[in-house]
Amino acid sequence: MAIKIYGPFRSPFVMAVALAIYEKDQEFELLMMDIKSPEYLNNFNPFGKIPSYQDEDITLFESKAIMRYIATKFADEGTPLLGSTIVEQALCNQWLEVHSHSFTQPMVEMARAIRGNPQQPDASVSKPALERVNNVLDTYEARLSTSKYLAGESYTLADITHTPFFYIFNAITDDENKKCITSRPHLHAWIQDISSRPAWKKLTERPENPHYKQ
Amino acid sequence: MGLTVHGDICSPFVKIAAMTIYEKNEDFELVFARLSLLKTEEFLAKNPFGRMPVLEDGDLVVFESRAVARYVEAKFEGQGTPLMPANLKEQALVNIWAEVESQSFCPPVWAICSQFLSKKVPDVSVIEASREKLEKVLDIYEIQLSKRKYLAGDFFSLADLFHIPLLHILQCLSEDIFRSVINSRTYVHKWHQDITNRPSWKRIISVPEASDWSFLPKV
Repeated sequence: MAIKIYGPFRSPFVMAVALAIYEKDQEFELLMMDIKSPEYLNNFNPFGKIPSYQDEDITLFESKAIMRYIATKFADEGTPLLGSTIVEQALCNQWLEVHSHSFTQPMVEMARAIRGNPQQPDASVSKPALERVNNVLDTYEARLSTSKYLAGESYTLADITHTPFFYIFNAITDDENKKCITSRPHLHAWIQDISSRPAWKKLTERPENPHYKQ
Repeated sequence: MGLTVHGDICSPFVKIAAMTIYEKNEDFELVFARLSLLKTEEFLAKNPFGRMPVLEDGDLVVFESRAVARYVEAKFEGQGTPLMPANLKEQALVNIWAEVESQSFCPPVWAICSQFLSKKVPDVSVIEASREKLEKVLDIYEIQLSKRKYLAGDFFSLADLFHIPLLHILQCLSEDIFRSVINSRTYVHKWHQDITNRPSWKRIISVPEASDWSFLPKV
């Protein structure tokens, strides 16, 4: 049975899982299901969220748990994704947590503001929201000024989990908002590096990519 | 030179680090850091997000409690309690439920606790909205725990451990809410009693500071 991923391509969480699969030189089928249906809730994810993952051995949910599984199951294939030392593993885990607890919310808030909130037709980003994004990106700039990737010298799941967010950010921002990235040279260089990887290019060339056109 | 943990033992996140270290039959030096110290240049150099705990082990500095716990488990693998199974599928289940804790359990619990910790008059509508979310999450836990003793299987793991300090602070701050969401669910209740019976946990809450949030400023 091939690997099956359930969820829309446009979700950065789906994309992160897909990227990890390509980094491991594996293939997958991208499928959709009604996430509120009893079939999905009972067999895939009782919390009714995407992505879910299925292979011949197991069914999983939670994108970071899926990525960890892929990185370990295919440890000897493709790119190593968990760090080459216990220190890199620790920092990989640290930045995965940062992604969950400090990065995602401000970035999603900003994206929602830019793409329009039906309750607030004025789609400009509020000052506090922009400040939150800039504050968190300052910490990334500081980190990436001391190491090539988030965990150290090795590219890991920690980097992978961020690539789709910056892809979306780049697609939806004007030059003014792009300054959040372009004004931070190490952050900018790192994004360019992780976004030029063959596995990422292969992923963005999939027919399911909506390219964020409204 | 051993492990150093920067933080205040009243923090549920510091407790995650502490409990993991104790489960591995190790010890640590607690370098006390109260909330007011977290925004100093010295602390921000360790954790730019200005939060506790921070673990120092030689030259390594790690923050984010769940990452600290994973590091401790990896470093002391083979001693104390195995908190992460070797089997790939079992590992995946631990990672799933660790993520569920992080993404679905922690936010509503922390939202409720925050109301009691820092506000003079808790905002009832915020508490109710969070409680509703928590109930839906715990309904799923109840089904899960009816099929197995612990979240990832019939073995205690990091996934269970991550829940303990948050359950504790919720119980301390609102026994009513705790009883109605936890004790009302047979399997969740049983699981809670089991996991809080562990010697490592009892050691942590044996000190009064572990349950004292009275120093926090009231608005």
